[in-house]
Amino acid sequence: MVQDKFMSYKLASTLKELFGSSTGIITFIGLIILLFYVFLAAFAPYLAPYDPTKSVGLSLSPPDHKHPFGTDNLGRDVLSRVIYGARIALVIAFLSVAVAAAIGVPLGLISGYIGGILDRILTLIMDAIYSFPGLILAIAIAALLGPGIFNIAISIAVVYAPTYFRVIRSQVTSIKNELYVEGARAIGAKRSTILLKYVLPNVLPSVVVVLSMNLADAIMTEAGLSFLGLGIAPPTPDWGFDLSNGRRFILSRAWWALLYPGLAIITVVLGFSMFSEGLNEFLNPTVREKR
Amino acid sequence: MAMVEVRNLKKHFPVKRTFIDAMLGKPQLYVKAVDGVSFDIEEGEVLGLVGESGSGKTTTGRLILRLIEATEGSVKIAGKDVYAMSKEEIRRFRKEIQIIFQDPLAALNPYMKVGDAIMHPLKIHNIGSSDKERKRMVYRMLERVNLTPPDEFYMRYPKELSGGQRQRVVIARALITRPKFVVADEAVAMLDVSIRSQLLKLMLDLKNEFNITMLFITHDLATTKYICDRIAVMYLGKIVEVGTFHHIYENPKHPYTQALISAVPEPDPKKKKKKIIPQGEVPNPINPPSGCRFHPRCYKVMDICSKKEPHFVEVEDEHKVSCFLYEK
Repeated sequence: MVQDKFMSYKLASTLKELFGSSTGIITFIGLIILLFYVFLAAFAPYLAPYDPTKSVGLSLSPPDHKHPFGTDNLGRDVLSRVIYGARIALVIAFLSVAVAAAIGVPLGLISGYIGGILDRILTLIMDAIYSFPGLILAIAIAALLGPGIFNIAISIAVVYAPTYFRVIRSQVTSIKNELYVEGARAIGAKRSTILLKYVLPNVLPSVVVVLSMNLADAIMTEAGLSFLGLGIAPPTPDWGFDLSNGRRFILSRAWWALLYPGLAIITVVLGFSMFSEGLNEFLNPTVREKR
Repeated sequence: MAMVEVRNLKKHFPVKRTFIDAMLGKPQLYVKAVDGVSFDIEEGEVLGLVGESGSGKTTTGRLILRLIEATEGSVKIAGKDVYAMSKEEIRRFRKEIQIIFQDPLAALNPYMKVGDAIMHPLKIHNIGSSDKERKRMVYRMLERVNLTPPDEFYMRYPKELSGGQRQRVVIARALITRPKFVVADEAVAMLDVSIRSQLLKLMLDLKNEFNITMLFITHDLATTKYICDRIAVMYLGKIVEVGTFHHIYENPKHPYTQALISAVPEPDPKKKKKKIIPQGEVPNPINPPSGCRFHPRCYKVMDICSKKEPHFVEVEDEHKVSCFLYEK
């Protein structure tokens, strides 16, 4: 299964074992977490107590009533940085997933439906990308493109585009033999019409599932890139960057600069995974009641 | 001139060989699904194409509409050579030629509303000046196939309908462009017997109303009784006997046709019929028997049957059979 490549999928299936078959609760919790982070990102300027890029206190002061999450080495408020960090994380996640789908879905449709030499070549390219370890490839592309929100999104998108391609292609190869596709041909529909009106709607549920699983992984990859210094240029608040920055002061017992960005990454990835697992259950053709 | 002219139509499907087989020089084998079929259908006529599973009747139907490409032969519909057309020409020509599939659930896109499915052919072929007008046409068609009230059925999805209703939708979609020729491929085989007769009646009414020429493919001789003017019996990729409905029913000549007719259930229990059951199984179409293809199973087999292929003999007016029993 293609899904096995996703960290989030493994995570979610472990969770499912823990909770038994109560996917409803898992989905619900996931959704609550997601909505919480979307809320944080949307209303960051109103929720954050300080400007995340300005020094507002002493360097590395521990959590107290003025700075509930403490301050980092430059005296910036960690709470504000975590709240603002949700913006970057979510924007990059959605952007990269959208780009990955925009590349993978049309190519998968065409490759699966037309077949032949074109299919062979596209599959070869996509498999080559797919066989790379994701983060390494993202690092290489990010290093090539340089920092910036859009560049990061593209480097993550390249990593995940083959997943869409493979899921779509394999579905299309079976759907194109369905009678309703022949029926569409029999009424004289053009190839493009058949693809858009008869094939695409039938593969869309699996795209949605892959999309939701992908979001969690995109956030992790983005955090990984920023951690390595290949992400958004400082001083923009970013969880991955704050994590690596906080790590330098762990020996000074400044645990707060490391813990809170880390927790944010963990919870948001968990939320996406839980939500996608539930969505998978609802939409997956094998689980879903046969239409 | 006949509405549909089929001449020496052949379809040989290549059998998949493994790479090693190809390297070892094993010959490419072919399944001779349809092997030299010729017939005519006159305008407004319904020709029944009868045969058991694997006889190539469905393949013949698809070949005539060029849904799959023929290996050999020609098909003319309304004077136009289907196989001489370009891809774009045949796509446009599909307005005139339609197919009704056996499995209506599989034939309908599960994500498309019934009304949109029926309207789609109109859009493709630019029939009707506006969506409003097309919608009116769809409503009228839905009413015509007894899916009332039409505005309610328009909004339904295929899975929300019963089997008979779905087949009505498929029929409506096939006939909305007013085609000249329709292939009905086992169109009622999946339905309950009670619904089957309703749908056969509907198809017959619509055929007369729109003056449609039809090829009615079925494995069930009993259903041909309601709708077919003439019947062609197919065995292993070849037609063995063609005649009017009465010829085939009352005076079957070919031993295979006789066997088929004897298998039709007789409603009158007092009439005892002798059943002719062909020996053995249907042979492999990759390597069909020599001479007459039916000879290994025939109860009147002669020496000549395995050596030469029989030709069509006209035993009576409009009744042709391909069997050595009748060759002089």
